[in-house]
Amino acid sequence: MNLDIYSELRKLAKSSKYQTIYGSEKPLGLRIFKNEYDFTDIQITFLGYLSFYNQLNIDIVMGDVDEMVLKDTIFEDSYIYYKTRNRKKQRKEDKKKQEQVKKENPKKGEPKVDMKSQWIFRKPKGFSRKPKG
Amino acid sequence: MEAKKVVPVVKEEVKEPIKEVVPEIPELTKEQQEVIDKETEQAKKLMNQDLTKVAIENNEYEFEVEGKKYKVVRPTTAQKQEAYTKKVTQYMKLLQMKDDNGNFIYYPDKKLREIYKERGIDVDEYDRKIEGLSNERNSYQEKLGKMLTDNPVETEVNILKEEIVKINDKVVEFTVARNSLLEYSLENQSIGFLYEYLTYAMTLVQNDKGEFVKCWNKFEDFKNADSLLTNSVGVYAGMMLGSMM
Repeated sequence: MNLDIYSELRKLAKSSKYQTIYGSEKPLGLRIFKNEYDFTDIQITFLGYLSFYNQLNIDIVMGDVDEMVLKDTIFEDSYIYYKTRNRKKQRKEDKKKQEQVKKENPKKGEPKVDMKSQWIFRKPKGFSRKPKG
Repeated sequence: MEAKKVVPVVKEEVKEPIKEVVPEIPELTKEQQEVIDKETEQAKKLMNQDLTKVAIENNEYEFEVEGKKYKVVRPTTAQKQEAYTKKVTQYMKLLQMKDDNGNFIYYPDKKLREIYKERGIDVDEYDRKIEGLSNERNSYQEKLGKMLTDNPVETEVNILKEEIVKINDKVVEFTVARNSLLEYSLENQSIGFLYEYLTYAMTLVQNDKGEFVKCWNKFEDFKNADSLLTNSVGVYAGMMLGSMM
C-alpha cells in the first residue's frame, strides 16, 4: 500500500459517517463491510484507524486532549503515542507498587479466592445410581 | 647588435564549449505511446473510482478492463500455501543461478551488504540512521502529545510539528535509498515473486455463462498478459495483501 492510500484511509476513518457506523456496529448491528470475516489487509488497517479515531474523539469529549489535535495527522499520532507511553509507564509503576505491598505484607498481596464462583459437585447424601428394587 | 627581445609566447587557452550531457531518450513508437496513454488513463480511472472506498467495502473487487469483467478475490489458505511453496522453489532457483562467467547473480541480504561495504557503501549505516531518527521522532512526539493535553499554543506545537516533518522526510529518503540498494537481494526477489504468484492466483474473469473462473491457466500466461490488465489487478491485490508475510 502506498502512502496516499493510508492518508485516504485515515480521512475515511475520521469521517463522521464511518465513526457513526463504528459506534453503532454493536448496539444497532450496523455493518462496516460487506464481508463478515476473512478481512483483507486494507480492511484490517481501516478497523485500526476507526478505533484510533474513536479513542481520540472520546478523549476530546472527556477533556483529556485539546480539539486542536484533529488539525493534523502528526498531532493525532503524537497524542496517541504520548498516551500509550504514559499508560505503559503507569502500569510499570502500579506493578512496582503491588510488588512492594507483597513484600511488606505477603498475606495482603496474595490473590483472594472467591468461593462463591466455584462449583462443587458432590453426591447428596443417600443418593445412589442403582435403581431401587 | 641589437638584442632580440624575447617575448614569451603565451598560448591562448582555448576554452572548449562545455558539452551538455543529455541522456539519449529513444523516441517512442506510436504503439508504445498508445500503451502508455492507455495505462495512464486506466490508472486515473482507477483513482477516480475512489479506490480506497471500493477497497474497504468488501474482500473481493470487481472491475472492467476493455469490456471484460474481472474479479480479484482474497486468496484461500490453500492458495497461500501453494504460493509459499512456489516462493521457496523460486528462492532456491535464484540462489543457484549463475551468469555466463559462472558467477552467482543473486545474493542474500547479508552477503549483499558485505559486497556493498567492500565498494564503500555502508547499508547498515542507513539502518542505524533510520533507527536514530525514529527515536528522535518518538521524543518529539512525546513532547508534542503532552503539549496537546494542556492548553496548547499553536505556534509552539507547530515548531515541534515542523521538526517531525523534517525527520519524516529524512526517514523516507534513507528508507528509499536503503531499499533500492537491497532491491536485488534474494529475499526481496522472492517476496516480489510471491506477490506476483498470489496476484495470478487471485484473479478471476467472467466467462460467457456469466461465471467467474480462473483468469490464467498457468503462471506463464499471467507473466505474458497485457500489462494494462496485470497492473490493474496488481493494485487491487496489493491492497488486499498489504505487507503480508
